[in-house]
Amino acid sequence: VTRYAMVIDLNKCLGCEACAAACIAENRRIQALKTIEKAAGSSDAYKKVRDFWLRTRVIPVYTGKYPFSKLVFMHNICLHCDNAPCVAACPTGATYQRPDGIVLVDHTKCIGCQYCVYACPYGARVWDPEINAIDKCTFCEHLLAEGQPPACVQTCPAHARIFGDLEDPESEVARIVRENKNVHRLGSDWRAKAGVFFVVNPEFKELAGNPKFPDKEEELEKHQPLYRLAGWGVFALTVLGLAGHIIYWTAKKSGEEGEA
Amino acid sequence: VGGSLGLELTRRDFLKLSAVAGAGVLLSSHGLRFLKPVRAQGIVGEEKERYVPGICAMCPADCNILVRVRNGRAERIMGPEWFPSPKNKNKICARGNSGIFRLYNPDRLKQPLIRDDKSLRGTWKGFRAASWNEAYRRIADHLKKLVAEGRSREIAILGGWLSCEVYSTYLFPFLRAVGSPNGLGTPTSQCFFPKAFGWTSVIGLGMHSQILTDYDNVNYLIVMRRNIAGSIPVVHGVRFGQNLGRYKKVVVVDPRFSETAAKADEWIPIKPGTDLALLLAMMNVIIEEKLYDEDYLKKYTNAPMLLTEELKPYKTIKGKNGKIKYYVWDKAGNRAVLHEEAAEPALEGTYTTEDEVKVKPVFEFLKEKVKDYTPEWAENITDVPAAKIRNLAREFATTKPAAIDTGWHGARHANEMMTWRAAGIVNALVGSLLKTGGIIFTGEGLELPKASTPSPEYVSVVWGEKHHIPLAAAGMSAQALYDAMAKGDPYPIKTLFVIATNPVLNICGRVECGEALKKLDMLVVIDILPIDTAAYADIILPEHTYLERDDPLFNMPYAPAVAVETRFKAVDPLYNTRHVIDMMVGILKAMGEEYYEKYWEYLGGEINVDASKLREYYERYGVRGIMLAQAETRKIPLDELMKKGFVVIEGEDEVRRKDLELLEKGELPTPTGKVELFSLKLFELLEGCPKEKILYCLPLVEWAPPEILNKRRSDDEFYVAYGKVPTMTHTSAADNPMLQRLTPTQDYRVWINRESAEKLGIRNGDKIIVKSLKSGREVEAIAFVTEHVRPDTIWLSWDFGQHSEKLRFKQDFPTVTYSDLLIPDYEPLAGAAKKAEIIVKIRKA
Repeated sequence: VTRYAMVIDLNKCLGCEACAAACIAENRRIQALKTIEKAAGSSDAYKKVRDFWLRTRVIPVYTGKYPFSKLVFMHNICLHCDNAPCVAACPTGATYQRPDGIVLVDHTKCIGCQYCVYACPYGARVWDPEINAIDKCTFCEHLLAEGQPPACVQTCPAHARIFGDLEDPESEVARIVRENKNVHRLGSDWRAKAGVFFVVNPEFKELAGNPKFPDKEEELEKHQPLYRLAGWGVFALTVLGLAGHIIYWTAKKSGEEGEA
Repeated sequence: VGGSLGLELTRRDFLKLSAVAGAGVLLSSHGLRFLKPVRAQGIVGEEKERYVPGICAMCPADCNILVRVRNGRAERIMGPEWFPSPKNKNKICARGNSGIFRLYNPDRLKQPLIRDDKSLRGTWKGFRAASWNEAYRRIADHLKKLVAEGRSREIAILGGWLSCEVYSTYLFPFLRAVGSPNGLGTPTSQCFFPKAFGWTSVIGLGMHSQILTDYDNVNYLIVMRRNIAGSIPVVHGVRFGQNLGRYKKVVVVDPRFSETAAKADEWIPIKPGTDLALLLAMMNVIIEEKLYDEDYLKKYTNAPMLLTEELKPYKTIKGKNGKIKYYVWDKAGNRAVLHEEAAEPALEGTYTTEDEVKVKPVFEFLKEKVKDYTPEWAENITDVPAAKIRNLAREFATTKPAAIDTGWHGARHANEMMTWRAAGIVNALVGSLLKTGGIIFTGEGLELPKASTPSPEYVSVVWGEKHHIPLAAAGMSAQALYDAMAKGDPYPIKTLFVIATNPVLNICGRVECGEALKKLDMLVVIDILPIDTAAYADIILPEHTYLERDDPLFNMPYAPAVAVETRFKAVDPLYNTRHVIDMMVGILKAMGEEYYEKYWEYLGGEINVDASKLREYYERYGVRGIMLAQAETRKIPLDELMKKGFVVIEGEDEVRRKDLELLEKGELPTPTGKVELFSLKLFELLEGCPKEKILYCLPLVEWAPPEILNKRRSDDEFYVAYGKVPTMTHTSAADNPMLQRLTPTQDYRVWINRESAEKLGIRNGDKIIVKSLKSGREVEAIAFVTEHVRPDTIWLSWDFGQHSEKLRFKQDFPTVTYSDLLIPDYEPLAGAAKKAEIIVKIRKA
């Protein structure tokens, strides 16, 4: 069987954000153009475009003390986990994992409850009114189907994002995961095993794809679940909601245990 | 189109919210979502997707691209995935990926604009829409009047990097047709010229398009005054980045911890402007400890060349190939002989020739010169510990191949030229120039264009002679243009075409530049966006974006390959815009047949294509016709060009072979054909060099301090380091909404060291006032308090500070307009900017 996986080599990433830009053009172009159009007619165009949600982003993390300064470019993206909390949280089965490992959302089944958004420890999902469903990274499966690599992988100048079949021992991802001792797999010590691997020096290991990004920018905070949960009111009490919540908390709890 | 999901993506484009939208107002936005599913309606028949090859124009690195087009809309720009280019391979950066948001930017200039009231210059008031004919007619009448009055030289074109790199060939014939010699570019003197001349004085070439650090093979890399990862020209970024992990060591010398420093093994936070001292001390160690490559120096450099005690060449002869032959001391025969005849040329020692002249080899002089430039001496200047310098020099000389990076920008300090000359010499000492793993010539470097002599009437020449700026002629000094506009010095320039550049933000002194523009009789701005400079225009002509135009055939710059490339129109122009060549031709046509005919005659001469064929093809096919005529003349296979956008004539292996051949045969484009440790070009210039500038002109090497050295007097004063951020290009990308989205918060801010900030009571995110002690102006900014910059230095990006109210997506908080910190003054050799020769005072707002 195929298990699609990505390696993000943080030792190679130059922080140029080509990946994030390619992803906008490939996957969120329509949303971007609409956002731009709306923003142009408003008095706060800059703020409106700054609020635009990205499926993947690069976050520079500055650490160290002068002159022993350090900088690492963290990446935020859906990790396409096995046993993903988002899949478990989804009450309708809209969020599912394909046999090849890719976690997708069936737009026709998505009811917009956003449990998956809250369940995801990585902030990798968002409600998107433009498609009337949850939007998230798809590993560009529409390009894979045509034999093309995901947009971010295709464009990365430093070859820091590498994509392939983990089950194929000859593939570059399998080789790196097998041989590079600095490979870090999030969630590997609990049940949700990530399909995105980070190559990261030990000094930065704790930062790699950590749900608690040290540099919380305004847009990350915006998608925090709490204020939205408050707006749920009666709906949160429905059976669906309760079930989702139980799964969500279970997943989250095991996540926290895993990190400890 | 394969794959059902590819189709689905398109479906989303046509997704309609349908009837539920009406009911939605009664429900909360959350409730609305439960009324799913919404069915896609009215799917339109799809066009098969097309991939149109082109050249990116988001920055000057000219990456080859493919544009995916469907139903006449550009969807995505990507690197040439299926046929990697010798330049950017198959990759592009964030800016390149965001090109579609330039194309579809609602802020674009959409039609020609004319303003009749000159008193409104500097504002956006008073413009009215005009037809192309009216605009051409108005310009043509004005130009004809100037020609009739014998005032042609008052006309000038100021071009940006796009004009300089590729369009100058098509703009000069326009100027010639109207009788003006004045084509100038902002990139040259504002960007790279002093650096380029530093390199040229050593290897005969030095533009970033002509030389390349061999990232694929270098083992020990020193990156100085440069940020490869942060400026990310993909041609370099792709090579530098993909080799990470292979290098034995990468050392970054930079007052600020840059994106490149993040990838380095060692960061040396040097005091701004003092890199030259570090390089001189490296020479000292390498020579004192005999770590240099003696064989390389003897064979390929003019290190053995005999000089008299007055530091003048002892006897030279002009050879048949135009190269200068010189004398060396042959230890075998114990006498001075022509260099090519020496069996055992001496590098060291003092000798007396048969005609009783006391001589020493260049290397001996160099050795004596750098004797006092010890690491301890340099420590005092650079703030880099002597032990570290010593170690750096030793590692550099013993971990081969080693190279100091070529750099790109180089107009920071008064000592810019000498700094890069020294970098070239350190590379030469370890045998890296033109060798694998060192600094090599690109295809463009090999295709040495014949040097053209500028007209004696050229404003930069006349100005340079008057003010004793020895390299002003070659430097296309923007300062000369400024003086000509502002003061009529050396003669007035009253009619200016600004093409794809933004002098108000790019030339030193935003206010001064604006005032100078107001003095013009006519200012025509040709651009795609309502940039700051356009507010000063009388006529604004909107250009196609690079995705909407065909182009002539260009020689490929930057790449280790000899190749040609072009752009193909990916989508039809969205607005009433035109190609800049169409504009030039249109204006000349409006002036009359004789001007129009001259254009083709002159252009034909420039590009070696039959003039009548050019004219005929252009009239039939537009700008694409020019490309067709060129391709036909040069026998470039059109099918390949149309598929890939480029055709390789000589590949990398061939270029590398030719590089070595130039070295072996002594046919580098220097006067001697050798790597010049003693520069004959500089020696020639010395004569015209005024006394106070001699320090910067010396043909060997010499410590030349930056003007700001040790001028910081108190805790609230700072040196200034500036740079680029990866998502932006100069000031030209801040209106791209998605690039704004991607720019990290701190990249907009002024970086100030944590300890220094604490002393001033400044916290991260505080509003601060930056006062330039040079211009006296105060600018508001936001502080980024960080451990990633020297305590005595602030860092900021030059990419922001736009004021134009028509740029709606620009940042909505204070950013520094860098040109506000500067005044129009210039570096002594080329009349170039010296943008980092300032001290600022910082306080909390």
